[in-house]
Amino acid sequence: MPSDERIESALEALSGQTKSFRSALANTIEQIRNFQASHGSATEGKVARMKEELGPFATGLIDADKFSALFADSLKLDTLTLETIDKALQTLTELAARGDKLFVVDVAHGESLRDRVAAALEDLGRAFGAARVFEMSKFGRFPDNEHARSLGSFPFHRWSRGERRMAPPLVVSVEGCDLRAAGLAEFMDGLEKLVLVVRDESTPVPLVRLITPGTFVQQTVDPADLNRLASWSGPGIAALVPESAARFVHDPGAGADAGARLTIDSLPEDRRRKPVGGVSVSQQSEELLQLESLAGQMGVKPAAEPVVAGAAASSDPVDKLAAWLLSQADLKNVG
Amino acid sequence: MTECSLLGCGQDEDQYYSIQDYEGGIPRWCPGCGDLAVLTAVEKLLEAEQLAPEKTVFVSGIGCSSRFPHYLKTYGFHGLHGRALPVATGVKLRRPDLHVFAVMGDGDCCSIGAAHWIHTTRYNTNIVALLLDNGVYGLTKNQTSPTSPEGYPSNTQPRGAVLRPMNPIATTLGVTNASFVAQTGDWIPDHLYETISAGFRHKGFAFIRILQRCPQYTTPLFDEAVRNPDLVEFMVHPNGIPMNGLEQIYKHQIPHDPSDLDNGRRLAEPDGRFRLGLFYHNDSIPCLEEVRQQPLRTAEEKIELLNAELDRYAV
Amino acid sequence: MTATTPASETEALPDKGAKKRDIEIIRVKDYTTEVVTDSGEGAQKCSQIFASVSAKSGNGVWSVEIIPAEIQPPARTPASASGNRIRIATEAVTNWGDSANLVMAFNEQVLLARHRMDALAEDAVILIEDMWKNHDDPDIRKEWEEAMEEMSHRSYQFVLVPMEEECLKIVENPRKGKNMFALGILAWIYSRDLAKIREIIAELFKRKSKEIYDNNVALLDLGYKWADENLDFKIDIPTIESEVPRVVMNGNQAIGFGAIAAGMELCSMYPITPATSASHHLGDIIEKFGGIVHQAEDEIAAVGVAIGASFAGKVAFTITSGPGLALKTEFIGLAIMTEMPLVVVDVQRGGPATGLPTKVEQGDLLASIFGQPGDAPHVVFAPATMEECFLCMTTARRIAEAFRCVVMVLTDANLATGQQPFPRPDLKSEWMAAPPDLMAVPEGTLPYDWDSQLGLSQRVIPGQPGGMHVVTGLSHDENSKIGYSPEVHERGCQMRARKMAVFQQTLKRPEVHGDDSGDLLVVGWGSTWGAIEEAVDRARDDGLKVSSLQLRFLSPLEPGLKDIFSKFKKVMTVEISYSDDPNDPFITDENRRRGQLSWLLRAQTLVDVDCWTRVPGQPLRPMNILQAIRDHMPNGVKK
Ligand SMILES: Cc1ncc(C[n+]2csc(CCOP(=O)(O)OP(=O)(O)O)c2C)c(N)n1
Ligand code: SF4
Ligand SMILES: [Mg+2]
Repeated sequence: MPSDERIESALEALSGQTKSFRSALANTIEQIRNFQASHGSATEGKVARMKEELGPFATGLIDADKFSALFADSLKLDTLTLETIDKALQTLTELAARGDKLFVVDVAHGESLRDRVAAALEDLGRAFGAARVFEMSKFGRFPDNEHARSLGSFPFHRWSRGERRMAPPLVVSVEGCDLRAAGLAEFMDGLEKLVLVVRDESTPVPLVRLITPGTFVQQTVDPADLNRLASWSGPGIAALVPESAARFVHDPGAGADAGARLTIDSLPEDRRRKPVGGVSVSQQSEELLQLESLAGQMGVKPAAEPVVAGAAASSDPVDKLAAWLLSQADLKNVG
Repeated sequence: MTECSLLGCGQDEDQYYSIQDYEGGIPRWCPGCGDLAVLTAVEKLLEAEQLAPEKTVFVSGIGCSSRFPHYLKTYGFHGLHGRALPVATGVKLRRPDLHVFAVMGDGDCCSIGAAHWIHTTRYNTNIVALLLDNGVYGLTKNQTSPTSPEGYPSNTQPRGAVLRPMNPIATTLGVTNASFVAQTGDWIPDHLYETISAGFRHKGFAFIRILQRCPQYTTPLFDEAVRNPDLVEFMVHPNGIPMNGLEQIYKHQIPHDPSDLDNGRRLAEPDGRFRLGLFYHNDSIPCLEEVRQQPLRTAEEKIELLNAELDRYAV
Repeated sequence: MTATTPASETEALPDKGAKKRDIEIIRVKDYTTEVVTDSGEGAQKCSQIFASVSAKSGNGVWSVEIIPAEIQPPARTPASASGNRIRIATEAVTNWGDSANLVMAFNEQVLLARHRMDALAEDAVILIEDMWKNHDDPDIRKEWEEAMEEMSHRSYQFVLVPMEEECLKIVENPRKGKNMFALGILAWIYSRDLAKIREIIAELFKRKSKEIYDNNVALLDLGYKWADENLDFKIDIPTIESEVPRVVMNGNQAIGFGAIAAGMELCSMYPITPATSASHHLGDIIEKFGGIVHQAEDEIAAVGVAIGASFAGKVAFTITSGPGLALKTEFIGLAIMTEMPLVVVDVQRGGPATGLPTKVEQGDLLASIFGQPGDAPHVVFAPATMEECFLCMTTARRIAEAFRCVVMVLTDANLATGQQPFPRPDLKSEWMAAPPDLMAVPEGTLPYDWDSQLGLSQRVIPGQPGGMHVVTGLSHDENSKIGYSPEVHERGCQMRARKMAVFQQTLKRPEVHGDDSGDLLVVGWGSTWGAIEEAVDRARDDGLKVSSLQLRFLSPLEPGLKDIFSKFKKVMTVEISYSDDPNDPFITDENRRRGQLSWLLRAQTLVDVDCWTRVPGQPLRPMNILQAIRDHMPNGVKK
């Protein structure tokens, strides 16, 4: 896969989020182990553990038997519960062992982008499921099968508000022709962040339909731009698109002024369009018109002059955009 | 980084917290004490933002104002005179997932705790700091505070405060990394609420000085201003504190863009009226807890890393 | 361990073109070296490497820094003396010993400082820079002569070394290179492996340029070569193969590593000698482990931040020295009142006030136990070696968390800066057990659900649904509700005291070194352990009925003391804290100020515990303790 470098850069840009997810994972594992150690074992095991916890300095100074007897706990867990907790722990350690691979999805040619993302999040979601199973087990209450289901998979739609705030980011490598982004809207919640690394040609504005007031949406060619996505404290998606696609940022955090939130950096120069992955030329024009209408509504003042080929000599960027779009809208050529 | 552990984050589903869910013990402030108004505004904020009570921490020092945490049903730390901010910093530094508020009096913040006030401003830890400024030491019964007006007779300076009062707003604005500096008054509930709310939404150290009435000792301080809106001036701007119709009552307004630090500093100097609003706001200054965040490690990872370090000391 | 008479033999070195010399090999089991220079000439680095390579070669080592209080004291004055004492032996070394057998001195004034301290053995070998003897400046020549005159009553054996002249062959500023030249000489004398030394240099200078490394190594080689061509004796300290892997480090590094091994993730501090170097070391590595060093605006904030983190459920500690401890007092009281787990490390120095900033003293004992207003029961203990500095952090954390209490760890400048090899700790994941999780507790869980019998209660931290409460430094009840009634305050005090009594019951009766009964029992604490036991061993070899006891836990005190004391005719403490000499004017039994441990033991056991204490700003020497033992033997027994 030639785009490996971009995947690395995207991971680097999202490292704040990936690190905190992994860090929470590590901490959870430690907390569960801690619990297991202090509740799972027989008295002798507990004393042995207390001895270890006190460390060798205490040998000869502290009577570990007396010490640990003070902290005898009332919670007695049955074997089934302990086994369930152990399974939850296994799930977490298995996920933790994958390292940064946890956050990378490769969509093979012809596969559904939405389904692959859903599956990846469902898989990662097992971490939340495992944490919940543990919590329920700790209190001795879990409805039948709940634990089994949560450990096997835990789809995004079941994630709580808190879990969505913890959401692990994904870097998704996908072919341009498979890039049907509209289906990803359901994952745009909490702090979920997706970066699409696009291989080959794509439509000009594949992400346009995801622009909603609270969602960060970005198309760019430069992975360095992803730091804006990383620093946005809400849901967001960015695509590392080919040169031929539009480049823009919709950043809900960019200020109270609506115009400041949408910045169009460049629009496609190439007039000759052809259908991409079943998206017709007219659908592609719709994408561009949608961007235009948003820009119009929001009173966009682009930071950089859009690169507009063959535009009318108007100085208003919205006018320019409109003129260019008209020139593109070859409605006869319905692909 | 929001949470440190996955445990507990599945719990907050479909919870709705009403004002009652945030109410703690019955306040024991004097009747008419401005601290009550602040408590009301804060409870309103907690409800509006639906902050999980277990995820919210109020840290305070010692003073009338520092009793604040006891009257809420969140986690609280009623610590030492002047030392709310170090404790709040410690909480936030290692637990960025918690919403941290610090409540201080003027003696607390501006006198005994002045070093922490200056440095926490510079750390820009993401904390909402409420300075309940009644211009006097209330709890210890009427001693001169650093913000007592010149000439104010107290038990320690019965012939009147001998020095000019210090200006907490100007002081904070002078500190590197000051990122949110606002002033409001307890007797204007709407503005009080909006200011605290803006401070809460600010990412960084939000310093809010609340002019607070103490009917027990410093009635003359704000009494006239309470009765006469002409003695108050609001700074107004689309990015400032929303006025919500207050402009009908308070005729004195001055436009001020809160991103303009120089003008904010100029406006911080007194000129006859109590000036309320947002003096300065900058969301782009990094917070200490972000700058210092490190990914946590499992025990195995730590042992491996530590053994590698020990190799260098092996003989 | 006792010194043995040096055994000598000679060995003819192969002719290297120079005149053939007979090399005398002095074989000893215990030998003390000092490197003394003007401050800033790099004696520390030279000694650190020398100590380290000696440990790596399999010897027992104890090194102590000789530190001037100022950064740049005037050069060529006794006040400028800076360096290290490195005691090397066949077996493990537990203290800095009596006097130096070999000294490497960069000028006669710093040497004079050591002479005046009575730090040098009667027949010490002294290798000294020769440039001052015939210096162009007549004043310097005069100073040299006067110094030699002052030392002339001793039988020191001087070897003049043209350090400056030699170093100039390689570097322009020999002040910055002599230390490596000196190290080369030491390496030759003690037959140290040059390759190992190069490795250590590479590690020390890993952040510096290649050129700096190359220069240092060239100087090292030059020193080695010079010694090879000019010296006629070598010191051989046999080694015993260690069965276990070992590490070598100073006490502050050990505290830092120990903190990480104990799973601590926040070290909150404000710089103060001699504690700071622990945070330098930690600051360098802790982030890899997910933790941080927070340098606060002052000591008050430093402890406040640690308490805040602990309140939030994290494992935090603060580290300081006497003056900082004084500032932290109010917060430590708060942590005790709110039952917040907290570890406070106090690396003691001389006091009061700024006192002896860089030097050793055990003067904070009573302040650390009783410094807080009101009744503030907490744990105070003291490690006695570098190894204990490492290992005790885990114990400190566990006690603090289990008993929701403050644990103070007292070390001192002697441990902090001295280096010692010890068995490499076998790290355990249990030491690093994660802090409490955030799971819900039943609605209405009390923040201080004291077990009336034990005073223990469950810890609830922010983030746990159902457990919301406000901790307060005011007198409070089980629910942390403020209460000033006599019942509430009495009960709170009682519960906080009770758990310390319960903790004391888990302590083991300490073991006496030597016989369980006899004429005199010497009691010490902390870093004096090695020197005391060495002195006691020598006294016992001489037939005196002396034993010793080194306390680790000082508050609460280890159990059984009264009984142990009753088996001896006399009990006395040996401490590095001030006490009045009973023979001083005005001193009576009634007004005598005693050593701090003896105050404590007298109060706790009602035994008439005597004391012998000194505050020289240096570790105690076994020979001085031995003398004190003789002087304090009860009447009518062998002295
Ligand atoms: C170290 C210390 N010094 C002094 C006090 C006594 N003290 C308690 S509150 C207070 C001043 C309170 O004034 P302020 O901070 O303005 O709070 P207010 O009561 O006015 O709200 C003082 C001096 C103390 N508790 N601790
Ligand atoms: S003394 Fe003043 S500040 Fe304190 S409670 Fe009474 S009115 Fe409020
Ligand atoms: Mg006040």
